[in-house]
Amino acid sequence: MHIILILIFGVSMFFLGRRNPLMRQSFKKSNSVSHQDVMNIIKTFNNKLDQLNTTLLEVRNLLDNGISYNSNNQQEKTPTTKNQNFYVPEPDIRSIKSSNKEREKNIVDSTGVSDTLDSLNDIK
Amino acid sequence: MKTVGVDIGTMNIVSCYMLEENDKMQIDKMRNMFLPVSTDILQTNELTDTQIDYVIQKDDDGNDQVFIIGDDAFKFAQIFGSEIKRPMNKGVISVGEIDAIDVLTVMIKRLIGQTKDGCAIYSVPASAIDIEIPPVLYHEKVFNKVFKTLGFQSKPINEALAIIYAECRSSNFTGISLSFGAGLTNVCCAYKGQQIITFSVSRGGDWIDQNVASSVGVVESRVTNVKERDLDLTNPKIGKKKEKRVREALVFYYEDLIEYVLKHFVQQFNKATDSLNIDDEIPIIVSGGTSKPKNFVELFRKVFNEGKEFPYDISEIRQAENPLLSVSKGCLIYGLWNNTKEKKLNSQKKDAPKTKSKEPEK
Repeated sequence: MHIILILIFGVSMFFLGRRNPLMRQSFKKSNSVSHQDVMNIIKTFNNKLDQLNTTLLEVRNLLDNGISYNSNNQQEKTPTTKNQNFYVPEPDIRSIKSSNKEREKNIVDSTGVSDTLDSLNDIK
Repeated sequence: MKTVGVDIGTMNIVSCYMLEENDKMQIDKMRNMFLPVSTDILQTNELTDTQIDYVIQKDDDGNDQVFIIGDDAFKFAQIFGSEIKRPMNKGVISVGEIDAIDVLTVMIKRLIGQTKDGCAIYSVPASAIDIEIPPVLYHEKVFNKVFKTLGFQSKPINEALAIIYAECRSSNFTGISLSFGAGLTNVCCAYKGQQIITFSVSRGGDWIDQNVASSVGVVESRVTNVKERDLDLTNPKIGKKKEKRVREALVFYYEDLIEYVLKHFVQQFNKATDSLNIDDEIPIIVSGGTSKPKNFVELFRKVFNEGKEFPYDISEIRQAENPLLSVSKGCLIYGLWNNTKEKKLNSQKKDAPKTKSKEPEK
């Protein structure tokens, strides 16, 4: 019973292989895909993934901190001119009419501010 | 030069500046929110005679759009039970509100006015450690343009560091400050006025309001109103049944917020112990609009003492003198201090003897 099943499986695989051009080619060459081929594909895939990761990290850093990222894994502390120039909308209030409601004036003593300034100037 | 300190918070914008009269300072506050009103309900010409803070702007089709702004927006929203719009979310400019930048510019203009050569120091949050928030750099760039439109040179300062400048004079500007805001809770550890650790966590007053509103089934602005009116965190059993439920839920979520913030707080400071060596006892200053309810500090102390051991010795845990004002005051102090330093530097340059390069004698 087992032998019959194995024979059916083997025959069907042979015909399937003949129909598929890729498999037919590998059948013709060596009848199998080598381990090295698989490793090369994985290696290329990993390299592409690394490149993508680096690009994503660079974009994120540019957006987040204004710190550029270079391929040597070193962060440049000074913001580059590139990341200073992204588009920021300009507020336009010329066409806006606003109320003239008088605001409540809250005036307090500011001696604390001048004393704090003196202390800040004395910090060593 | 007019120097102003502006606390740009998710819930409130607070400004302060020195007056020309001796030892006087003007403080102004506006809710950072707006309410679009249909022109069918409120005609634009009807608004001019009212004492309402509003703006009228043209939309893309050339039609008038009316927005009630600031505290009036908050009042209107409570009366009509409608949801208000917020120009900011999680401490930074809201990505979903297309009108946010223009409305914010008008609101800041109402607070600090327009000038030709002013200097504005404004607060910004630190990056959040538990959530992705829109880039703080973009937020800074937007506000630099807003202040430039109003004639001010501007500089951002970390919100929690500003609290250190305002509140830690007695400890030589060394301490840990926690700013419980509406969108985020900001933390800063500073040594002699220099920030060492800064971070923020994504929970704040809005998180409490949203959770209470969905737990008890009321509109968020009504929860905010109860929270800000007279909430006592040690005694929530006040008022009618519905209000009592809101207060009880508020106390529950307040405790949860403090636990959450302290968990991250202890984690971050434990991580930093290798590089950070502070021998002296340091104070913890609690501030921000969300810390305003009665007995907040007592609840904070209780949760802090029950929690994990903190790696540094704490001298005291206290509340800022005025939790709503302290960030803007710190911004102003920092701005004035910078001006003094610049003046000193310029005068030193002027006084320095000019050395002419002598030609070699032949």
